[in-house]
Amino acid sequence: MIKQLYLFVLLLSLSFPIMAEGLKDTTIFLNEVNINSNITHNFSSGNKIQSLPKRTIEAYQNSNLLNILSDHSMVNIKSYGVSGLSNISLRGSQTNQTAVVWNGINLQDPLNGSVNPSLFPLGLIDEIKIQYGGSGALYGSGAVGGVIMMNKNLDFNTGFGIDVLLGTGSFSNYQGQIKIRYGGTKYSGSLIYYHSQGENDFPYVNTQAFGHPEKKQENASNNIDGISQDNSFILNKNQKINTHLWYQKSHREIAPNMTIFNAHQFQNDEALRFSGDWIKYGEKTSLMARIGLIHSILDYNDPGIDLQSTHQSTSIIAQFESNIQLNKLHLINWGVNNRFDMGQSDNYPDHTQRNTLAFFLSYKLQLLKKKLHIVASIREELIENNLGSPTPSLGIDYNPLSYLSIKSKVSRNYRSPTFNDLYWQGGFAHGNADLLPESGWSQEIGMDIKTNWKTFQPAFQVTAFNSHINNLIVWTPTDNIWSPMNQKEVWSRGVEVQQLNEFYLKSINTGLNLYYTYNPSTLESGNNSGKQLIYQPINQIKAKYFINYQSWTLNIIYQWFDERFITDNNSKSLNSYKLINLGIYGDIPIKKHLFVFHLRVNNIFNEVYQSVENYAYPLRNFQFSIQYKFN
Amino acid sequence: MKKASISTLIAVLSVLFISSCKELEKDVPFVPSFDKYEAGAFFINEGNFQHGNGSITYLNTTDYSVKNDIFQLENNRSLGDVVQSMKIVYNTAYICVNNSNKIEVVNSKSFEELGTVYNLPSVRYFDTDYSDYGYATCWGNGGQVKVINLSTLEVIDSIMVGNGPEGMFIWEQKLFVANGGNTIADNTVSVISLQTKELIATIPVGYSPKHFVIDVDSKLWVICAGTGNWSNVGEQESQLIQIDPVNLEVINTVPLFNHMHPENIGIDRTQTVIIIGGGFDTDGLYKVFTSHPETPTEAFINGSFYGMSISPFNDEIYAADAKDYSNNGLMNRYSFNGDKLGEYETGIIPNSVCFRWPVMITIL
Repeated sequence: MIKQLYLFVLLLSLSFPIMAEGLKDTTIFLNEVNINSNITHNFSSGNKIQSLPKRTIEAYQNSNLLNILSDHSMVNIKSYGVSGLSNISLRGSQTNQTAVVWNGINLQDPLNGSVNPSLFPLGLIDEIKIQYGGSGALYGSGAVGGVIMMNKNLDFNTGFGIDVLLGTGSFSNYQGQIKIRYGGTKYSGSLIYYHSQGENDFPYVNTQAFGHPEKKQENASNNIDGISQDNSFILNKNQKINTHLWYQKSHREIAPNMTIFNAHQFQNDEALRFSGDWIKYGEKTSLMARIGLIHSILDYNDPGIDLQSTHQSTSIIAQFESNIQLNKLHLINWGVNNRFDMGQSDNYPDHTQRNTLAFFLSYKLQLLKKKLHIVASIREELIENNLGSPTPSLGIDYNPLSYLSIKSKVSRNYRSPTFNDLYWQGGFAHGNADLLPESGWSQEIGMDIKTNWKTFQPAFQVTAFNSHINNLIVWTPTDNIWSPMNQKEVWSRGVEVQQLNEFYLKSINTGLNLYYTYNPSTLESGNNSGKQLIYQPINQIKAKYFINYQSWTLNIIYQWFDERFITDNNSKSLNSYKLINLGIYGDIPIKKHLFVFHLRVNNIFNEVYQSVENYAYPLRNFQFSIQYKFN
Repeated sequence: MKKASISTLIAVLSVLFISSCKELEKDVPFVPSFDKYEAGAFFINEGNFQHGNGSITYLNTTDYSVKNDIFQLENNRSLGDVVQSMKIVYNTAYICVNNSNKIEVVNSKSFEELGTVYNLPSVRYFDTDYSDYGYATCWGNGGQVKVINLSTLEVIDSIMVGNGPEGMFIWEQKLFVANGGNTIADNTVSVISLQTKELIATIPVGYSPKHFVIDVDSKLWVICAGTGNWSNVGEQESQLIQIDPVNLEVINTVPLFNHMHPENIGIDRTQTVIIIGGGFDTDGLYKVFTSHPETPTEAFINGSFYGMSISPFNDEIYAADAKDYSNNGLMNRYSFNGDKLGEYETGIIPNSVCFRWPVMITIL
């Protein structure tokens, strides 16, 4: 019976300049437009934001969001085997407390709050930013631990081009991707089709089976197909429209843990997503309107017990905002966002729906010859007919010297209950319509030192953070019904340090970057008060060595994960482990033709590890692809 | 137990181990041994779905000391994903691991691994007629009883039964199977001939039959939990149903509760007092007397328990408290009258107890 009960848990996942190629005048113009279309750029003062370089994203064109975040960020990843579910979290937050924003639309599922980063092919996007720390005032519900932003930016005046990528990897992994793009003076567009499949039947020693036999991972195949179509129209010298349409269908077997034999569970996911925005740039006042639509279907199947469970959600998002430049030093942003979510599930009584109307206002003040930026923001939401608590934030960026900047931010963050939390019915489980949002305050302060010497460019960044989240929603048996309650309180705090050492020697650019995170994240309520949260390592270390020579790059990435507790009372834990991955990326140009090569070698030293209790992970494995580009 | 006292005892006593999850066994051989897990209660802890952290806790009923996760301790590996039940047969224990689709076979005295039976989709319970064959109820393939060769630990046959088969009872070469239903409700008991290994009858009973006991008059009683309002048949009351195991007919139906769905049943050593209770939405444990079976109105033990078992050796009642279902739970021990005798920490989600008891016979 508990199996049925748990099924719902399953169902229940430094600014980088925007590269705008093309005519000189439109470059300037587009930069301005993009600034206006990107709230974070102007109003994220005080937050630590990591932009992944365009070249890094290009090097992962044959991969997905999970892999790039794992290699190049300090996001905490919990991955159930190779084809299964994976979750991301930032700064000791829960997995559904990190917003994943695609072209301005938050993709967190209204049913369960999750986003699965292994279902995001990087061929679709060319900009990734990771905001560490919450930002409820700017992003609304879900942005508690941080925000992952992904954008597709189309280039103008590039003419017709075509990319074809073919790749293969260990354990019968194959992939193909075709991109057709056009960049004119007024219109730019792209059409992308992709397919990937893998058996993921890697060999491993099953230490959890009788006799410790050598086995192959079973029931771990996946199959993903998708199509994406993006457009950008320049209407006139100060107006632009962007549209992004993305459809994806996937079939994934749910990889079992090492104690399970003859598993047959699988999941089909289908999603249609649209984001469109109109921007009108003005000297004093700029306007932006955005509309978004997400329709997702999750179909979970356990043929062993004839279980099929379908869950659908539809979200319609409309946002209007305006930037008003009062004078050179004062900037105001205000706007309205309406999000209408509908859920349909075998486990909901009827069609369920929720409307969230939000008003937001930010004021940016620049002082001390623009060396000091202060941003005060506030957001107020009307969920159905209930007015929520205001969500304020205050951020400061101070650049007293050309090589030194100081950032600080205080913000209130929250996450609304999911539809499962509110409406689930079945299997002795009942949603709770009276739940309050999870909410709390976070503070951070950071210092950034960057040099600009000729051959050696060291940089150092340190950020201290502190966050309390109350009313965490926990499913618990109450009055003989399994029901969610606002129960837990979590205190997450720590320090992030990064030290970059880059050398520029004629045609060679090389360096060693070091990252360290110290993050105690503890329960502050109940019997296990003071204990570290499960699957949250206190210490994480990452080291990245790279060398660039002409158009070729070699990366060696070392990651060390501290012991992670797997019980609330911290009585059991998984051992610490280290992983070393290698990547080679480069191209050979032949006139207008470009041949791009990607090679990744994961887990070079065959580390045997458990990222999640009892799950097997592959030893050394490869991923190789060739991309042909014609322009 | 101290070794010195053990030696003294051995001089005058021979020790007969009788083991049972539900009923007294017959023809149990003499086993003069005082191994690690000689006499006590084994708590079955399901663990969390998809975590592979199910476990067995051992309660030494001599000194009431507790040892958690004894399978991991003795074999240095996880027992599996959703441990449902355990049955001791002589010196061997068969542990059904539901979501691992397997039965782990261990020496019941040392708990050292002996082998694994695979190909048991969503296995629930194991039983045997003490022949070379064992029988396991499995939810997979529409509901089956798998026949296992106990020498080779291989599945040799499958017998179709109803949806979600649960507990079994063996009586005079007949195997009674409670079809408890899962995603599709069921309200039948299947009867299989152990001679032909074929289904010989299907007896309609209340919704969600779970487990059996036999009374002093050799009549079977099956607890029917009923269904919750999410079921495909809507909410159905729980019932206690008496079956004649010879004529294969329902003799008596005792309605229980409209909105509580007890899943467990036990009977005292006189085989006249039935205890029911346990299950996610059931408050308290109740007595029903076989001589005048009536709908119970008052619980003799209060509390909400995920599972309940009664010791066939001293009628003590063990009631499992799964607490928050994600951390270790608690096992409560009561006298037959309902007086609390003790409580013990268990693994995650305790659901029942399997007993192993020494009976000492003086050798003259």
